[in-house]
Order: sequence, then C-alpha cells, then structure tokens
Amino acid sequence: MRHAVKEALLGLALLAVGIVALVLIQRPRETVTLGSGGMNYATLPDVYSVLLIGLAVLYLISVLRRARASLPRHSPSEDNAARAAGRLPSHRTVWVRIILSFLALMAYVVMLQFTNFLVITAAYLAAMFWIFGERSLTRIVLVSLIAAALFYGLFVNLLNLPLTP
Amino acid sequence: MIHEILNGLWTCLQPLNFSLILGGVILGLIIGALPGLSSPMAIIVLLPVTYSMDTLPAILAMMGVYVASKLGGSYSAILLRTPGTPAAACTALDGYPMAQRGEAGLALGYATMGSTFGGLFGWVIAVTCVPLLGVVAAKSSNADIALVGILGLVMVSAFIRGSTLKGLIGVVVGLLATTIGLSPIDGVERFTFGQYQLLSGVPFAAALVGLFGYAVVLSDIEMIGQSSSLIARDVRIKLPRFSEIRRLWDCILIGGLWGVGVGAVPGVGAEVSPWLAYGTVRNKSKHREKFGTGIPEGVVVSEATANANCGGTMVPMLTLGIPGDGSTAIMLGALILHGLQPGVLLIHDQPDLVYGILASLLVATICMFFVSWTSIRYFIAILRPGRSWLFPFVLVLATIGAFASSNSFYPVYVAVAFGLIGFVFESFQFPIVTLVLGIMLGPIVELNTRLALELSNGDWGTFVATWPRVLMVCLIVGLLGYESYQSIRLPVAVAAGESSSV
Repeated sequence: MRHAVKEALLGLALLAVGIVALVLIQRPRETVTLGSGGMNYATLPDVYSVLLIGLAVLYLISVLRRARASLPRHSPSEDNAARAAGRLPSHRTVWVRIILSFLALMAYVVMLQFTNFLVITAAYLAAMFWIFGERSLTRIVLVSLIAAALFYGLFVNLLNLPLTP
Repeated sequence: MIHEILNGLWTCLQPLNFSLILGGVILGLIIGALPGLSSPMAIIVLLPVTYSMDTLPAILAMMGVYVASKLGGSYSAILLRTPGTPAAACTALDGYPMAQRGEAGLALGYATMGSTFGGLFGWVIAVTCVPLLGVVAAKSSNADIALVGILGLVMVSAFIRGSTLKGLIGVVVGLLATTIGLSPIDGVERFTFGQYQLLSGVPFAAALVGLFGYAVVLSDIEMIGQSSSLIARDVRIKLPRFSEIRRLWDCILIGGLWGVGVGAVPGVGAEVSPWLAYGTVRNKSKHREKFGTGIPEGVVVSEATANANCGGTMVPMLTLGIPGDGSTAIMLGALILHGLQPGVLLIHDQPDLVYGILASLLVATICMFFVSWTSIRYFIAILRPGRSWLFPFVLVLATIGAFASSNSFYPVYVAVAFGLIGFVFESFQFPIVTLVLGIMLGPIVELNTRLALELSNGDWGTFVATWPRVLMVCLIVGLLGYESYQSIRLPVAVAAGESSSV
C-alpha cells in the first residue's frame, strides 16, 4: 500500500507537470499567428502537455486499480534474503546513502564555483568514500588526494578548463 | 579508388602513424570504459597535444580514440550497468543480464566481435559509398530527417517491456523537456521563466550526464556491497565461436546498415542508431520477449551499430564538412586548425588525407579487436575497485563532463536535475531510455517538421512526396499498428496459456 501511495504521488506530479505546462506555455499579447501547416511555437508543447495529462490520468487509474486489487509488489526475494543475512546494506542505510550522496553532490557543485578545484574535489571524494561505507582513513585520504591531483593536472592544467575560480 | 585506398593503408601502417592509432585505441578503450567520460572529451584531450603534428597523424590518433571508445563503453555497460558512452546504454540492456548470469567474458566477447564486424562493415560501406552517400546526405531534406526522428520515437515502444504506459510517459516527458527555450522558426521563449540560461534549452550532453551518470549511481547505491561479484575475478574475454557469429549475421547486417545509414545523415547523431537497430532486430525476432533478459543478439546488434556508425559519420564529415556527432565535430575543428577547409572539395584537394582517414578506420578497428582480445583484463582492472570506490569517481567525472560541455555551471545544474528525475524514474521502473530518446529526438523532430512545412508552404504532403518518405511513413504506421496488436494479443495469449494449464 505504501508503494501505491508513492506511485499515486508520482502520478499526481506528472499530472501537475502536464497541466502547468499547458497553462504556462507563453502566448504573446498580440494574436497568435499560425505558421506554415498550422503549426506555431505552442503546437508541440500543447500536444505533449495534453499527452502527458492523459497518460498521467491513465497511470493513476492503473495505480488505483492495482491498489484495490491489492496486487503484491514484486520484490526480488534474493535481495531481501541478502539484506537479512547482512550481505547487503539495509533499506534504511541505502536511503541514507542516497540522500547524503545527493546533498553532497549539490554541495560539491555549489562549492566548486567558489573553492579551489583540488581542495573541494579531494574533500568531496573523501566524503563520498565515507558515505559509501569505506572506513580506512589512510586509504580514503590517499586516494582522494591523488585522484584530485590527477584530475587537476588533466582538466585544469592540460585542458585549461576554468574549474578553479 | 583501389589505388588511393592502398596508399591510405600504407600511410597508416608507417611506424609513427600506426603507433598513434594504437595509442588512440588504448586511450579510447580506457576513456570509453569510464562512465562520465566520452569520446569527444578524449579527443579534446588530444587536441592540444596534436597542434605540433602534421594533419594526418593528428587525425589518425583521434580516429583511434573515436573507434575504440565505442567498444570501451560496453565494458562498463556489461559489467556495471553504467554505460561508458551513450551508445553503450543499449548494450547494457542485454549485456548486464548476461554478466549477472556469470557470462561476463562471453558478453564482452560478443561485444568485441559485434564492434569489430560492425566497424569492418562500416568501413566497407564508407569506402565504397563515400561519393554516393555524400550525394544522398546532401539531398536529405528536413522532411526526411523529421521522419527518421519520428521513426525513432515509435521504435522506442519496441524497448518497453512490461509497461507501455510507463514508456510512453518517459517519451513524452523527454519531448516536453525539449520545448524549453527558444522555439525554432518563431524564436519565442517557452518555459524560460525569465532565466536567460534557459533560452538555450536543455543541454543534451548535460541531460545525458545526469541520466546515465548521476541517476545510475544513485539507483545503484543499493548494490554497494555486492559490487565486485562480476569483476572481482580475472574476467577474460571469451570470444564466441565463428559459427555463433555466423548465426547472428542478421544482427550485424542490420546494425551495420542502421549505423552507417543514420550516421550519414547530419544532425541525427550517433547515439540514436543502436536503439533503432535494436528495435528492428527485436521486432523481427520470434522471441522478442527475450530481449532485455541477456541474449547475444542484443549485445551484438547494438555494438555493431555503434562501430558501423563510425563509417557513417565519416560521410558527411569528409564530403560535406558537416559533423555527424560531437567527436567528428572536434575532428573537423582539428582540420581547420591545421589550415584545411573541410567540405565538398576536400576529397578532390586532399585525397591522401581523406583516404588516409578512411584507411585508419580499418586499422583502428583491427587494432581495437586485438587489443581488446589480448588485454581486456587490464582495462577491466580500472573497473575492478568496488562500487564504493568507483562511484565517487563517476560522480566527479560526470560533473566535470557536464561543466566542460560549455565551460559553465548551468549544465551541471541541469545534469543534477536530470539525475534526480532519472533516479525517480528508475525507482518506479520507468525505462530511462524512453526519456533519453524523447530528449534526443524532440528537437530534431520539431525543427525539421517545421522547416519542412515552411519550405513546402504548409503542405503536409511533403512528408510523402518521395518514395523513401512513403516507406518511412508506412514503417511508422505499420509499427504503431503492430505494437498495438501485440499489446492486445499478448495478454490474450498469456491468459489462454494459463487457462489451458489449469
């Protein structure tokens, strides 16, 4: 049922995107003139928006029907067994890693604009290794520094990418 | 022409030139294998290095990278489900399931053979048909290109297993995303919200980085812990028997034709053709439900197409001076930097150069095969560190790749956004490939459709004005009808099977 709720939310999000796109396609105040063949700048966005709205509605209907029929969600039994046995990280750990990874990525992208590439990349790599479960501090630091130096040499020095502010 | 080809081969086999091709092949395999890096980026790395060289040696090194990166992309696609290049995303559909079954060496073998034979096919076609294909490409109009794009969108339904609805949603979301920015022809702002960066729309390269870099990493975080199961062992390539390759001759032929044909049309791009070929093979197969579960056909056809594309993209590059993809665009830039003028006169003014480049296609393809066959485990070694070590590098390289597309941070933010979208899609089992195809083909379809209508004064009959267009329209309509029939027929057949077994 939880997954059905998530799917329903996704369906609603898709529906909202379609409706917003249909509403927001900007039209100038003057009369919209049709181009050749009856097409103008708004034709295809309108078509795609209407299609997305229709498909989102169908998706919501299918989600509701599945929820009513209480159809079980397919879940690989091998993965569940592996998580229970401790060979794979738990669902909670996975989600924590996903969220932290995304936040770290956002921070890296933002900080890259204001901080030295070598420094921030080394820090980001170290943080990501830690988030992904590596715990050997020496190895993390060494690999991060060497890799960041190599990337700096290749992309900043050799390719002259303006990565360093 | 034979004389020129032999001259070109002789030039390529000179020690310095051969060394440059070999070095380019090795670099191409490495770059192609690393997710987040791409062939254009690898060629850009070579650009400043080749300033001091003569023109042909410089281009030969780039050709080595260009050819080998196609195969290199399949390594990570097969072993990690993270394609090293966009074209290899199609290889992952069947390559990764094969690897999961313990057939990683065999999958890599099929990929190597597919790439080699596809590359050889592309070379033969390019060399024998450069003048002819040049004429055809120059005559292809907007209506033709629009129809090829629509055909690609229809073919995407061939890749959808399980939920046509989810696939169509992915396509439409991708198409809608491409309407951001200035509209073609009218130049009206759409969905820009006053942001000047959005005027240029969604950067395609950044979207791909997000979908195939960030999204795949986020989705595969749950696999950390089992990361080394496929590549911890010393993976050795297992070349399939020649009889097996002979059995798959139709996959190589179809892949070769799509690769060369689509590559020869400027602007459509090399990334589209593997999907078109895959859909063709799948649709004609009697066991289409097996596609995507790990069958050799899926690996061979996509790899054959990717490398045959190299021959196809040479046609507009050498005959018209128009790049077929990003890599050939950089190579054209290299020609200009060396004082040459690419265009219709290049083959007349510089035949040695043109046939030398064509010959390098053959030499690079053969080098790629032998290097891959004998040394693949060294290349795979760069993928061997567990995902916990590899993924951060992928994320950094993807970030740099998105930045390098325009030397600004706007594409990086776009990549992050698409990474999030792709992750959500993956979580709910929406096929990302449909989103990618919508993004790739949306601008092509819209621009060329509108241009075709402008040029025909609004006459929709322009789309059936020639026999090739009629054929494509029939193909589109036929495929739509066939897919609709299959979607109705299959549930009935399954239900009949279930009732008879009771």
